[in-house]
Amino acid sequence: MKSIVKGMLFIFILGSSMLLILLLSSSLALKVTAINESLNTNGSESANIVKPSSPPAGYIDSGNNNEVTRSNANPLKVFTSFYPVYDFVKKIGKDKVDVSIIVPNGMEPHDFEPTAKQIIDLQKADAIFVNGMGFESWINKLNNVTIVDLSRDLPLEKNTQISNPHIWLDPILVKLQAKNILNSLNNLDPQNKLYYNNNYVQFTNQLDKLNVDIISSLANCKLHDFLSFHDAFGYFANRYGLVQHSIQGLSPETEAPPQKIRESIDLSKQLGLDVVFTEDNTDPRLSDTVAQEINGQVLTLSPIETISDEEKQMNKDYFSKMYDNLNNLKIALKCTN
Amino acid sequence: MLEILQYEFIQRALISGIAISLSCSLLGLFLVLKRFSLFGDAISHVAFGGIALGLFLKSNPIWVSFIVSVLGGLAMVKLNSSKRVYSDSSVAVLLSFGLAVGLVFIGLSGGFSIDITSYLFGSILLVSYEETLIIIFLSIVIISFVIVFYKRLVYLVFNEEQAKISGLNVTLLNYLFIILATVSIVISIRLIGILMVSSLLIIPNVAALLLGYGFKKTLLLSACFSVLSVAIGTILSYEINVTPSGMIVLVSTGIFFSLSASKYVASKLPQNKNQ
Repeated sequence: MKSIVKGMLFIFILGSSMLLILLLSSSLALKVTAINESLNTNGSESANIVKPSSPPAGYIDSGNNNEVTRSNANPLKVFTSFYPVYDFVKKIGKDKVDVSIIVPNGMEPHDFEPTAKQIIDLQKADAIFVNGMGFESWINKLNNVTIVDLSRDLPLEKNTQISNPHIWLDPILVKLQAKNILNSLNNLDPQNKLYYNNNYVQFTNQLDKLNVDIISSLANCKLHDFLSFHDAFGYFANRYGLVQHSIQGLSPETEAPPQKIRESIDLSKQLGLDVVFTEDNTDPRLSDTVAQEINGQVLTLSPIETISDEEKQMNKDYFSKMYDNLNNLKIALKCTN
Repeated sequence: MLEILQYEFIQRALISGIAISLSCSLLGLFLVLKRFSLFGDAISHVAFGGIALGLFLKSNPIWVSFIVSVLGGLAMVKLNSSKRVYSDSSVAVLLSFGLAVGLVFIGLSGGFSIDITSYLFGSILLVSYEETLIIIFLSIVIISFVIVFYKRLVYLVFNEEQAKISGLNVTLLNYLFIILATVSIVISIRLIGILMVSSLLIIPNVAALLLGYGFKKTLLLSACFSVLSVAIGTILSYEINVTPSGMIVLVSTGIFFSLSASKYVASKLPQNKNQ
């Protein structure tokens, strides 16, 4: 009896170790071929694509007129760092561009790090679109890829220490980002210039309408101060003459230091606020705590940094989320129209 | 300094913190004497696995983690009573198992999110009104359990064999005790975080044991120590503007170290007098 058990154990251990070796070697082989492929494509296409002049991170020149020939059967393959960048590129590229997103849906992009597999995939892309302003700190880890920085040539103060990356919440700045996207798509795929241009015009018209709607909705408001969750709405507030206060700093962390909670409570009482904002992708308890203290309500003011799968199914996009924000802001600022 | 006490969020933090620390220190003494000090660590890591599972299933993480942790606690008792595994090894097995389950489910649901970090470090300042009521209720249940079963629990801790022979239903009592300890650990996770839960169970008791009084006095002393460390820790954390959970643990370890230091000095003093 004992010997049978021993034998079975031996066979089991032998089998599982064989399986392990097999798995390991196959995954290694996969990785090696993937890396080789990425190197090869980079090598053969170096004449076509604008290459970064200096590693680690190069930037495509928006005004550069490099001619690229590309068949329609092989659409442009680009990566975008996180949701708003994805949405903007998709709105201009539409069917002619294969757009992927690096930070998965529903994930908080501030502390994101790409996985090894993603880095390999990224090297196969024709271009990577990023928001810039230091938001994608991991971008410096990538070599030999074309990076399009959408904050390029934007009239913003670029602080060397901490700059505010939340450009996409100001529709007027988004128009400039859209221009950057259009220029790079035209460079990468000049055959479809007309197509991209039409989409661009459509997109900027929508942005203009959003801008007008925000101005008219916020024309008659009792308040001009609001308490956001983290400092995402600086550019937005500047554009529309509002004052942003926030419970958190520039990045949404879990723990607020106790004195900051108290400051938010005192400030809300002083300013007569009765709405505390939370975000769609965060622990609402911090905003709840402040709201309970001032007998106020908690509403969502989305920094539109990510989109959940449910929202995606409901066909939500940048615009619908901006209008949701606008409706909640109207309540918070006690606007009448 | 005390004007902060006017704020309801600090009041809630203090009340729920004191309730939790009372029940944890009561149960903790039995755990320490049973040489089961790391039980809290094992269960909190299993609870972490449960929370990750709950987030993955998109249901209430606390309830899922409560069920998972109770199962984990009972499994640990079963493993120990079989006598085939040392009790410290069963702690190690369960601890890594819980953490591994947690990591796998976090990976499956797309990576670390804000939610998970809020469970890892806890946030006593953000406890809601309803949560405070639940915590007070559960603490009353735990404290009355210890009072009612006091004699039987002491018997169980000091001589399990003898207790069995004298007709005590040891297994049932053990299971009841483990379930209550698990309850108190899971509710403390929201307040003090997975990584530091076991400090509330263990440190005040170890400090009280240093003084070498009888069982009842030690129990009361450790309750005092833990209430003190929660109250002082929370208020200090406001003054220095840091997160409370770290400060609470620092205060309780501070009590422990200062007691052991004074104990050491005291042991030297009478010798000097005699000389």
